[in-house]
Amino acid sequence: MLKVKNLKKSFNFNSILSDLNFKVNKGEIIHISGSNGVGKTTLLKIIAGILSPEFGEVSIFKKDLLSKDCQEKKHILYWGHQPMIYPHFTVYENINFFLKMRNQTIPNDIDLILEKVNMLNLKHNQCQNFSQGMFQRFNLLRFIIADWSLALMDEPFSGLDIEAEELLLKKIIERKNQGKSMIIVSHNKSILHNLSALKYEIKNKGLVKI
Amino acid sequence: MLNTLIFKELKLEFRTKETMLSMFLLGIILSFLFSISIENVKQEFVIVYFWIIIFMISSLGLYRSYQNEKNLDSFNLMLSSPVDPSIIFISKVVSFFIQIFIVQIFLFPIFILFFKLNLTISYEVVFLTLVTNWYISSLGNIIGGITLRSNRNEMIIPILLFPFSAPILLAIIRATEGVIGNYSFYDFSNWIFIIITSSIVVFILGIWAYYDIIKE
Repeated sequence: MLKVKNLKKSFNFNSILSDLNFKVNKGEIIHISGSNGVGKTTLLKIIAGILSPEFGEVSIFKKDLLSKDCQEKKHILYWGHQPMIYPHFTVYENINFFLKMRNQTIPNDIDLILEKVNMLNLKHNQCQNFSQGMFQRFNLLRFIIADWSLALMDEPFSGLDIEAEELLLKKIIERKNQGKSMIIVSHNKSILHNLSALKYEIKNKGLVKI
Repeated sequence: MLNTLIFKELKLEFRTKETMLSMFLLGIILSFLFSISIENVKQEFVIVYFWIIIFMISSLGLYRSYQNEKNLDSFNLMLSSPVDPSIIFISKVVSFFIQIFIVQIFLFPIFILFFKLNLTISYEVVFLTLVTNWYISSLGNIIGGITLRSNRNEMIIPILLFPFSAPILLAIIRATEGVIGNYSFYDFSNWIFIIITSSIVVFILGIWAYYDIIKE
């Protein structure tokens, strides 16, 4: 489904990723670990289309993901460190804008989904005073509500309370059974233990299976 | 998609009024300072002051607009979505063009009051103002895109905006002088041509290059 070939990325002449190759098949969960600053987030951001590589190919369903007007990005969901929301928009407006950007519409059962992630009472509240945990809940909301084939998740469990963490794990398994793939960057190996994820580590600027 | 993005930009601005209000207040302060520092000022100098103020407040507005995109990584949401970056650029140009025109509508009467002017606004002046606003908005958003990956956008925007705007500033001043002074059209038509051409060229350049500008 996803193919990354000969990927190379540097920041200020400092090479971060070099000759990185890997594939993600349908229904696979890839767990990427590695020390701080080795390029885990950079790799996810390149696949998500936020950063450009210096060299290399990234394709999904055999279609180039790095082109300018890339409609294939609709298959990808990016869960980053930052919530990527507008603080002066309400939860509802933010989710509506997010879905419109992906040519999707708000589902009829939006209130039910908001209730699941414990955000129904905040539906019409602006997001400017949200805590990190609330931002992560908002990411969880996007994970549940959006239609995607590959989720790129950067430390998805950090900041979530136990209840939300359990819901996320349940949803990950649910999505995996639906044939969706995920790349999860996390230092928390114990949480991911039960997901039968393929384990990779970024070492020497490349991706190594462990 | 374009409508969604323009609506998002304007809705955010009209909700907070941060950008337009700060542009308007800075415009009043600068108008007041210019008006008290020079007495019995000639009409052609007043046009210069007005446009210098517009360029200065635009730089502030653009800074605030892109700062809002950097907060909480909001801009990356658009980058990671299946949206053509050219559409993002057009939406930003249109929304800033609307904002700057609204600020001008409120600022101009105050400016007239401070400088004790007796001016009648013609359709030609409004047209020239709109075309120049389009230029400022297009160029400003190209520069704003450059600053997205920088931590020094409060410095970079004015440093880049003013030099690239100098020919247009000169052109709009000459063209407005010509219109207000009832000169023969052939005396200032070249200036109008420069303004219109530059606005079109910068806008097309932005559509073409925005993707490369915003990518890190």
